[in-house]
This record gives sequence, structure tokens and C-alpha cells, in this order.
Amino acid sequence: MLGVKVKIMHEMWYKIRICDKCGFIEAYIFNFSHRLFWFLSPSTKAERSLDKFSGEPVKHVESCPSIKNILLLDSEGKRVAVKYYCDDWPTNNAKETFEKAVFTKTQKTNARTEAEIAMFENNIVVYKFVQDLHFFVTGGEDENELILATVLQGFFDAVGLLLRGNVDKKEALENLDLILLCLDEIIDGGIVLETDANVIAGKVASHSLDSGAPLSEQTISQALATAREHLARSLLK
Amino acid sequence: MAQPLVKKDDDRDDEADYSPFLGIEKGAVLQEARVFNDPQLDARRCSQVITKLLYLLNQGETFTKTEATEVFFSVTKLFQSRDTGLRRMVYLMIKELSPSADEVIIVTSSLMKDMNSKTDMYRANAIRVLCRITDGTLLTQIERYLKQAIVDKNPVVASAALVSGIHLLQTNPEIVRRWSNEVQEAVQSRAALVQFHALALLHQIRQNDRLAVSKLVTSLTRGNVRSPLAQCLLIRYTSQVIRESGTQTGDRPFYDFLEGCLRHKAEMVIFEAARAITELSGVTSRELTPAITVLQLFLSSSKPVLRFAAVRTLNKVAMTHPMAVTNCNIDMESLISDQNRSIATLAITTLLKTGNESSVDRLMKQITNFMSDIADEFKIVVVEAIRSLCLKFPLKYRALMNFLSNILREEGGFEYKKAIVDSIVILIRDIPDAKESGLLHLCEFIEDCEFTYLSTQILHFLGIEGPKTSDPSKYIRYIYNRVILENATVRASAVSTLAKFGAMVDSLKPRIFVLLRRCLFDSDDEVRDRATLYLNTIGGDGSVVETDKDVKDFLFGSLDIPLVNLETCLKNYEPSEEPFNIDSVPREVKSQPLAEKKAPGKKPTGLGAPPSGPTSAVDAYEKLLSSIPEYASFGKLFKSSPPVELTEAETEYAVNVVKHIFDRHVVFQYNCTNTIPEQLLENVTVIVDASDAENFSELSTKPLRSLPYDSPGQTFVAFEKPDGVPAVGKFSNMLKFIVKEVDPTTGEAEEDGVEDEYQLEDLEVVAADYVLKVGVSNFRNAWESMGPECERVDEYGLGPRESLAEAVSAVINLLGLQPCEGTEVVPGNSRSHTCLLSGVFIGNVKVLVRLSFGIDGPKEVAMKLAVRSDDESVSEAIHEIVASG
Repeated sequence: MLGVKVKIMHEMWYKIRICDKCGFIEAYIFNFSHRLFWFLSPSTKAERSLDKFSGEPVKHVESCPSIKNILLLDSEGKRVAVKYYCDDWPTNNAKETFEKAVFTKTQKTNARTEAEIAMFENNIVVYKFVQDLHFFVTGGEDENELILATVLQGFFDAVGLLLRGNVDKKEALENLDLILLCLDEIIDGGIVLETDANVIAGKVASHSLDSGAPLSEQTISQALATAREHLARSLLK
Repeated sequence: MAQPLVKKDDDRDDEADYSPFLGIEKGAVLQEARVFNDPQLDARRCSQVITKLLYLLNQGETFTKTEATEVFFSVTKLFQSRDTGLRRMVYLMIKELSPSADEVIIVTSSLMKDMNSKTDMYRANAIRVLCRITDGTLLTQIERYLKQAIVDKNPVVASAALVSGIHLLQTNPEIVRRWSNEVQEAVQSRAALVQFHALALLHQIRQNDRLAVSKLVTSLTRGNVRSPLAQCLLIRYTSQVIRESGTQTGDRPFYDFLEGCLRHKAEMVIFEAARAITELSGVTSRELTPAITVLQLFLSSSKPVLRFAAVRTLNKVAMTHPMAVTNCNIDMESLISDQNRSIATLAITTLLKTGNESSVDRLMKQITNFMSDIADEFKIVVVEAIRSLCLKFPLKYRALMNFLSNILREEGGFEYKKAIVDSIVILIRDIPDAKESGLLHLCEFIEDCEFTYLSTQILHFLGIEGPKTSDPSKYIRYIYNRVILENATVRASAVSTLAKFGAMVDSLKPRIFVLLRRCLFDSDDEVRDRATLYLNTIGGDGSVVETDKDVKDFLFGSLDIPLVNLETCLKNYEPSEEPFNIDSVPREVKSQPLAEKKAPGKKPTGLGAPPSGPTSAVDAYEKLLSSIPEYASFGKLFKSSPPVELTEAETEYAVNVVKHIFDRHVVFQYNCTNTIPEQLLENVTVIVDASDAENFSELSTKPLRSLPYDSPGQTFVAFEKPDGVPAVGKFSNMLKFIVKEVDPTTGEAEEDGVEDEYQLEDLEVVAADYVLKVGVSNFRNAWESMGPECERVDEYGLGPRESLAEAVSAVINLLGLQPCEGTEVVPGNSRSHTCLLSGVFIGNVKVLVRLSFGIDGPKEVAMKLAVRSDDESVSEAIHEIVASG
């Protein structure tokens, strides 16, 4: 009955009307250096997208519990150490956006005595704070919340042991190697390796003790260098 | 005087900002990394530099290819050092750098040496690093060591090998599958986590072998599993076995094991078991009770995580078994004031689901207070819960609609407002009584709406629903106000809406004409154009005349070509004398709609699944089928079944089938996926043997021309069947195709192919396929208005049944009708139950069913079936379904 009209608006503008059985759909075509750019008019777009709502498939978890990421942020939401185990956040930008969202939403909650929990974009995040450090563990929405909480507790306590109770950002950065090793011992590629804080700390510390212990093996110059470094650091404070 | 004060502040700032990495810079650190090349290695210094490098990577810094290579080569030199701490950092660094294949060779020998070292820590870590960076060829070389490591007496080494195995299974399954003997041995390990990792790997190796998984579960549920994590895994596998065994009734094989886990000492296991029980398909209330009791205890725990986990699970249970959760209502109500707002929201929505008609008002009062202090994302969840509550108790629509309109007037962001508007729209569609008040609420909302998108949608909706109301003229004022006050986008929509009123309501036509004429002087050209078009379309000269049918079709029709296709065609259109022709737009939907829909889309917040509404899948199928010329003559699609899998998971070719039912035809749509990268399938058809389905005669087959790797395609087979008769039958299927080898490097297929066949599972067409689930909001009214003329009543004995609930759900599944007013839920311990069902039978005949169940002592269930419909034969047909089922 009614065809499609193309109306020349201007040399470079074309307007398209589609009126065939489907009401009024209007689009603009923009001819720019022999390439056509096309877009729907906003009224048409809004009118035509009214129908949605679909059912959700029932999912069953059969896989091994998996962790999506572990975050250790400071009191401003900046990274101290983070580790991602899945591709949900492919770029560094996506990661930072996620961290920012998680940080701002949890910032005001009191997660100092007991671990707290929240959901973000179909992920479960459990978190716990101490001093100026914020610990987060993220898992999928079907994950057993208590497994995530156990991982968080393991990480939290292990860091406490490794930093000998002085758990704050400064101490954590000064011992960043221990924190990174600690993360490495808790999760391997998303799979839980160990959750017992004593075992985790034991595995990490065995190295640092080994390297610290045989002082006799260090050369005199190395020992002097170490001493100088310590002195410099204490002066800097 | 002020000076010391300022200084003090400075001091504090310095301290707060102090960091060992202050002012760190990539270039400088890369310079520092030269110490790795010193002949006299300073282990401590090297460790520090590696930490700095790792810090940079952790902060999101990236290394260029050359930088990474350079660092990698110098790091490999550090294997000379005997310092264990440094070695650990070297391992970390190598994993972070993820070197390329030709670089891996450099470290392989060092790592292999470490793998056989005496120090357990070296062995464990070397295994993890090597497996992370290695490829298939290297793996065969080290396979022997890995097998040994799996049964190593040191648990750390064994775990390292097992976890690496889990990762490698994704890339090199054939190699890892050879380790199953060793893994089997590791499952018996005394070390808790070794058992956990071994169990995970063993299951993944055998996951496609149902029998083996079942055996594994049987042996382990008897023995004792030490680690709570392993126990959780075992629970997951057990429920998988239960699900696949398909026993819906009677004694479930492993239910006792699951129930026993509810008394485990680890909370993690208790919760996993409780959750598994609630997710059993067709779970009975007796089976549910112990799980609900445990979850109820968790509700009053001091740990937020535990409360959250429990309330989230109960929330899901409430969707299917609201009665089972009512016991927890008191604990649930105290959670409304929980500090953690996620828990409070979940508690509210659970209460909304379990509430009965009489408690609605009280609940609404509580919610009104609650709404003021939660964030938008939680409000959206509450709005959705209220929507489904209203659909459940249509008689309460007044209170709930008022609530929705009140919150619509309050402050809120776009997503929140959209959720409310969507809810009101759905209520108007589904509850006829709510239409007038709902439309007025929406009208009032657009008077003061800051969101163009929502105003436009509401106007569009108003145009469809408004003219059908008793007094359409009262909406005109609201609509014309938009034309005067709003921006161009909204004005254009308002013009369309006015036109729809004019077309549908003849008496309003003259007035609409006047209004539309005024729009001809609008400043925006789309508004003017729309007005001109509609003035011409509706025709006449502004007098009261009846509107042409064509015009109505034009105004209310839907776009039946995919927008994407239209877009591409328009892009290719060269402006010329010849106008663009919409018929040239292809209608074939590039279809993988189902798979894509599962991907995480924009689900509101994930707090509780949204109630399932009318699915858009049907529309997609309709479009797909109408694009095939052979099927265009079949008439309107009556029903499409959900996809039925015809192959097991992870076979070479994955095929599922969708049954499309037409009045006189049945079309099977086979969705095929080729999972072998080295193959290209051509001329794919399904050979259907319908010898067990006597009423069906094969009409045509539409082959799939080519099926490349991992891009799904469809082939169709059409059958003719007697008109309107719910013919049933069984079909056996055989996939037939021509295989061509594909060169993996070039991606080109060879010229010659080989013909091949592949056996698929059988497919059945059952009576329920001819029934469409369509709910009615007020069953009583519908039942009365249908009248007793075509009523058929009969009684049936269903024999011994597990419970009343089980019998009810069995009959509902058999009939495939939509349960109404929440009557599919049987209260615990009741001896009789009435269930109301509605739907549409093939031939578009409305069917209403009233089922009365009774149970006596020895679980003997009897049922009275009353069917009303517009057609006697349909009532008979429903009885036949029950009689033959």
C-alpha cells in the first residue's frame, strides 16, 4: 500500500520512511564523502523496543568452585595487589572500572569484624577491611558463598601472619613480594590451592626465612649494603 | 604561629603517601633489571627488582614485546642463583611474562631440573610454571614426571600436578586423560586438598561418561571424604547424577547422602547440601523440609555471608515452593532491618513471594518505609517482585498499582523508573481490570517525566491500548499536552499516538483532525511529516467515517524484518531515481539467538531471577520460518517447543531440535553445531524415520548448505498431519552430510568430500506440544463466561503416588497448560487440592481446566477433571490426553 519514500533533505542528507505494514519507521542517511551513515530517529527507536523480558534458563553448577579475582586495595581504592583469573574483565580499564565500582559501593559498610558480601554485575564479592587495607574475593553468581568467604579468610589471615600483625598499606607495600607469593599460593588459575592461613603463610615464609637466615653466606659488602639501606629508609621516614 | 601547624600537616601527608614504590618508573626499573646479568648475583637486590617489575605489571603497566623478551632472558639467568626466595620470585615473574613458544625452550631445561629437585617447594612450583607456559609437544616429554608428581607423597607437589592437570585438560585433553589411574590413586590421598584436586580432575576427565561418574559418586559417598571442599564437589556431582538418572518420584538414590551432609561440621558443606536439595528437580516438600530448617538457622547467624547465602537460596525456593518457606517468615521479617542492604532486599522479595493474599497489605506498609532508604538497584528488584506478586493475586491489583504509581512519582534514576513503567505495562496487559487506572497513572507520569525514552514508549503503548478503553477521549488531553510542551522526539510519538486514536475511534476523528492539522506547523520536520502522513492515511475530510482496514494494519502493524538486515541494506543503497524497496531486504535471521540470549545481558542486578514473562523466542522462530518460502503457506505458527538435545554434550556434532507446530503441519528445526575445527560439513540433512508415527507424512526437507566449525546452522524437515488433530508419534533421526577436511593453517577446505552419517537420539511429538500455555488473570470469571455447554467431566484414578504435589505436577506437565493463580503449589500435608489451568489448544481454541485431586491412606490419588472450551471436540481431546497418559 505505502511504499518507502526517500526524500532528499539536503545535498548530503537523505531521509528514509518505511511505511510498509509496520507503521512509521524513520531513518536518516547521511552521505559523507561517498560513505553512507545511517541511523534511526530516536522516537522510532524507543517505540520499537518495547517488547522484551525473557525467562532465565535454570543453571546447574557442576564445575569446580572457581575464583574470578582477588583484590587488595587501599583506603582510596587504589591497587596494592590484584590478581584476575578469568577473562570477564579483558582490559586494564575494565579491571579498574570494576575495582572502582566495588570499592565505592562497599566503602561505607562495616566489614571490619565480620566479612561482608554483595553482588556486582552477576558476581558475588565477599570483602573484609582492616586499617587502610580492603580485601576482596570475587566469584560467579552460582558460587557457594561460603567457599568464597573461606578463601577470603585464608588470604586475610595469611597476610596478617606474614606482616606479623602490622597489617596496613605501608607494611603491605614494603613486603609486596610476600603478598604476591601469598596470592600465588592461594589460587592457581582460579582453582583454590589452599585455604588454611597457617599453611599458606608457612609456604611463603619458608623462602624468606631461608634467604634471611644464612647471613654468613652474604659477602661483607652485601651486608653493608643491606645495613645502609635500612638506615636510609629509617631516615627517610 | 601558623607555621608549625602547616608543617605538621605536610608531615602527615608525606607519611600517608609514603610508599617504597613512590615515583617508580618503568624505564628506570628496566635499567635496574641489568643486575640480573651481573656475574656476581646479589640475590636480595634481584628480588627487589623483580618485585618492582611485578608491581608495575600489577598496576596495569604493560611491557612492549622487546622489553618483555629482554626481561625474560635476563630473568632466566637467575636460575644460577641458589637462593630459594629469589627462585620463587623468578617463578612468579615467568608466569606473569607468559613467554612465547620459542622463548619457553630457554627455561624448559632449568624448570625440568627443578621438577626433579629434592626440594619439594621447587618441584611444586616448577610443575605449576612449566604447565602454565608449555604447549602440547613439550607436554609429552614431561608427562612421565607429572604422573609421578600426582602420586608424590608431598601433598603440595601432588596438588600442584593435579591443578595443572585441570588446566591442561582444556588444551590437551587426550594427554591428561591418560593419567586417570594416578588421579584415581590420588583421590584416596590422606591430604585433604589433594583429595579435592584429584576429585575435581577425575570428574572432568570422565564428565561425559555418565556411568563412570555415577560409579565415582557411589564409591565416594560411602567412604569418607576429608576436605570440606572435596565434600562440596561430591555434593555437586551427586546432584548431577540424581538429575541425570531422571528419577522424579519415589526414593531418590542419593538423597540420604545429601541429607546426611546437612549435619556435616563445616558450614560450607551444610550450605552446599541444602542448596543441592532445593535445586533437585521436582523436589517434594518432605525432601525440602530438612534443608529449609538448616537454612532457617543460618538466617539468624552473626555472619553476614551466611545470612546472605541462606536468604538468597530461600528466595529461589520461594519461586517454586512458596509454602515451604513460610516457616521462615518471622526470621525473614527481622532481616528487613539488616545492615547489609542486599540481605534486606532479598528478605523483602522472598516475603513478597511467600505472602498470601491477606498479608499483602501489611507487607506493602513495611515496604513503603523500606523503599526510602535503599539504593536504586535494590528498588528495581523490589519493583519486579511486586509485579509478580500482582500477577499472582490479580484481585489485589488496586493496592499494588497504587504503590507503583506512588513510587513512580518519587525521585529515581532512569533504570528504576523504567522498571516501574515496565511493570505497570505488564500489569495492564495481563490484568484487564487494571487497564484504566494503570493508563491514567502512566498519563500522569508523562506529564512530568524527564526521560524522553520513557515518554516515547508510554505514548506508543497508549496508542495501542488507549483506543480500546471505555472512554478514549479522556487521554487525548494528556497526549496533546505532549505535542505542545515536549521536545521533538516526544512530539513525533505523540502525533503517531493521536493518529491511532483517530483511526480506531471514529467518533473522535474530527477532533483528532483538528489537532493533527495544528501539528503541520511544528518546527521539527519529523513531527510535520508524521502529521502529514497520518492526515492522508486516515483519509476523509475530518468527518466521522469508518477507517479502512489497510490503514489500521499500517498503524498497528509490526516490523517483520530484522532491523540489522534493514540497516545493512540501507547502507548499500545508492541514492538514485529508483526508490529503496523494502522487499529487497532479506528476511533470513542470522540466527544463533538462543545461544546468545544466555550470555550475561543486562540482567538487573542478579538478585533473584526475574520472573519469566512471555518469551521473545517465539517471535524469532516465527520470523525465521516465515523467511523460508516453502513454509510460508503453512499459516500462522501455533507453538514452538523448547530445544530438545539429540546428542550428548561434547560430541563431534551437537544437534538439538525445536518442534514447530502449525495447524496442518509440523516442522522440525534441527540446530546443528560442528565442533571439529578440521572439518567442514556440507549438504547437511536429517533423515527422519517416521514409521512409528503413522499420522505423519513427510513433506519436504530443507538441507543446510554448509556447516563450518563452531557456527551453528539449521536444517528443517516438514511433515503433514491431519488438520487440528493432536497427532502424536516417535521419530528416529540420522544426521547425513558430506565431510570435507579443512587445512588448519589456511582454513581452506579440500575439494573432495566423503559422505557420512551420524546417529541421533529419537524425538517424540506429544500431546502437550499442541497446547499453548496462556494464563488468565481471573479464572473464575473466565470459567463462568465459558459456560457449561462444552464441559466434559470425568474421574480418573492415578494409582499410588509419592505425594499429592508430585501427582499435581505430573498432570500439569502432561497437559502442558498454564497453572493459574498459584494453584500449582500444594500446601504441605493437605489431603485434597484444586488446581486451575488454562491454555490454548491447536486451532486457537481456549481451554480451561479444573483439576480436583484427593489422596487417601495408601497414597492412592484420584482426580476429577473438568474441561471447558469453546469446542466440544477439544474438551474431549484433553480428556484423551489424560486417559492415554
